Amino acid sequence: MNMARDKILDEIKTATSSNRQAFTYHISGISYADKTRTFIQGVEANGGSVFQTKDKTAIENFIHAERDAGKNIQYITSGQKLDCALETLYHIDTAVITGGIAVAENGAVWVSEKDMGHRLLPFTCKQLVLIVEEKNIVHNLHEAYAAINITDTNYGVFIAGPSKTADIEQSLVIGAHGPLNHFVFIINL
Amino acid sequence: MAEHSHNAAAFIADEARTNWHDETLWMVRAKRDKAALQLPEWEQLRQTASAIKEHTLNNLDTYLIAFEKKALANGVHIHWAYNSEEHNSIVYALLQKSGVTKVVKSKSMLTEECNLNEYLLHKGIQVTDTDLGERIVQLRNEAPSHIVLPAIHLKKEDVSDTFHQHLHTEKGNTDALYLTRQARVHLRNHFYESEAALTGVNFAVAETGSIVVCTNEGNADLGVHTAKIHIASMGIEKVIPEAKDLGVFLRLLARSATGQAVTTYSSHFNSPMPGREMHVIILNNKRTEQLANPDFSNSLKCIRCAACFNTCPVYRRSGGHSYHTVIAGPIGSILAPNLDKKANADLPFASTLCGSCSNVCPVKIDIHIQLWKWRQVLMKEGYGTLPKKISMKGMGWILSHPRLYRFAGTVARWMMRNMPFVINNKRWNIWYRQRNMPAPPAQSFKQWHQKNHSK
Repeated sequence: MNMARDKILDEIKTATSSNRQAFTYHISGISYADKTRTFIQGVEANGGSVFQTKDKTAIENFIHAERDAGKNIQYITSGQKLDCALETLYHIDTAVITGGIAVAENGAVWVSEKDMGHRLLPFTCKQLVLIVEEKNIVHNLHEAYAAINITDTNYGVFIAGPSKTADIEQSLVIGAHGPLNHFVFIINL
Repeated sequence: MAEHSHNAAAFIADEARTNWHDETLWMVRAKRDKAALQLPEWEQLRQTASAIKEHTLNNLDTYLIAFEKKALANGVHIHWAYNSEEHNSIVYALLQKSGVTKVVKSKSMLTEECNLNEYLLHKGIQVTDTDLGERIVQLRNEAPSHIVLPAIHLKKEDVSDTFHQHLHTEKGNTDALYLTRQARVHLRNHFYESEAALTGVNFAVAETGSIVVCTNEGNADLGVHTAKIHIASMGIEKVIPEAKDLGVFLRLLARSATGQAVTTYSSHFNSPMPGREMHVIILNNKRTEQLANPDFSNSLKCIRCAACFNTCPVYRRSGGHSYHTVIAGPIGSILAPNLDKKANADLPFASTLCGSCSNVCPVKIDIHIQLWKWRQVLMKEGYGTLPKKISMKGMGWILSHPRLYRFAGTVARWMMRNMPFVINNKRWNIWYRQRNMPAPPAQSFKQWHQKNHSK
């Protein structure tokens, strides 16, 4: 198929030879008086919930409560690889994952493959719990991309809330194919 | 293939449904406005996005080569397809090589453009669309009527009937939550069993070799992370220079599409999981022809948000299927003639040229100007319908002969008064079919002007 490659590139060259100068731009995105508050509002607008905590005890208590309730829970600690069968991954109730940069303007949290145990985990679990450090909250996506190097990981995803759809008559349904619930713990150490 | 006006007539026959369609899409447009107004830098974002795309298109070969180089280094396989046939053969060869018979597919307008589903079905491969709206239309054997909201032409009763027939849901249960949960169970089985996952590409980053896919349902990720093979299909215009450009485009995309601040998932795929394969197919399919045409090349900036659909008075009242093309609406009407002038000659005329599409476009494509330009091209090259040719020729002739024009005006006013049936004839006067004739004025404007203002 290299014939196709050469042909396409040649045709592009012929079509575009006129204007090839370099291009730069700068945008300073919106900033908020209280970016933590805006982030919380963003997550809630997307159908998720947020808990703020001073220490990690609240998270541990939450995990204990889930276990006591008989939930199948996966708590991924730093760098841990989750090596289990597809079958198991598809039947996890709650996944607790540490996120990176969090974005105030849209409630999204960057989650890198290194921190999610397995790429499927944030998607197959019924309930996703993300842990975010308050100092990692930035105002907008421009700041987020300035802070993240997307090639630090083989796969990374901004997750802004629970999976959702409005494909049936534009009625919003929280919980499409991925998680039905979305929680974010903001830790202010 | 029936013309847009003909299909639209069938669509508007159900007035209640037409009104619902119109109002629902206008509601989505209103959400877009609300989201846009929350950002003081909105217009700067649009301007910048348009400029980034302009620059990328002007250097497209350089950025595609850079993307390819990085992606290869990341362990991603790159394939080039000159047309849709080549694209489909590449997909099939990859599936065949690994003995794959079941694939899941997340939303990709490009694979619709290539008619991939039908092609694979003929080869004995089961393709399951996993976006809920796309799954609904797939079960009904229909095409999506909107690129972001594929089943927007359907009511929940229709979905309920379709699901009852195919997924054995309760008959008559039209609850959206119930139906969505049933689809979740149904599709989770397909995800679990799939051997390969096909996706589209929202953005391909030249700097890093990454591809970015945006969904709300999580369906692209469930498919890709489960299957052994990921095949992503992109048009040559999907590449952007740097990762930081994603900040600009992701801020615009969801806000323009649905009024959300961002889609639930913005997934960045750099390289496959160990032991798995990731393929990217880069497709031309006449895009280089479009690029070579200065009047129409900037339509390649499109990021497929469908804001122009939601705002368009013609789209809202005629439905996506009236456009008989994969991408409907204003942007579809300027992309389609590039693919096939003859088959799509009616589409640039399916517009009021009001300009609302251009005003909401996040990458500032001059959509309504291009609709108007396509009309010139298509008429000049003889693709107009006979009534259009005759009426335009006739009008041109009369308007260029002032005396004849005045005489024709007098005759027309007399006819409207004394023989209205000649003009009020829905059979012969196409223009009258959806309109009422105004009351004939007693005199022409020229007569009125001479009487009142000439000295």
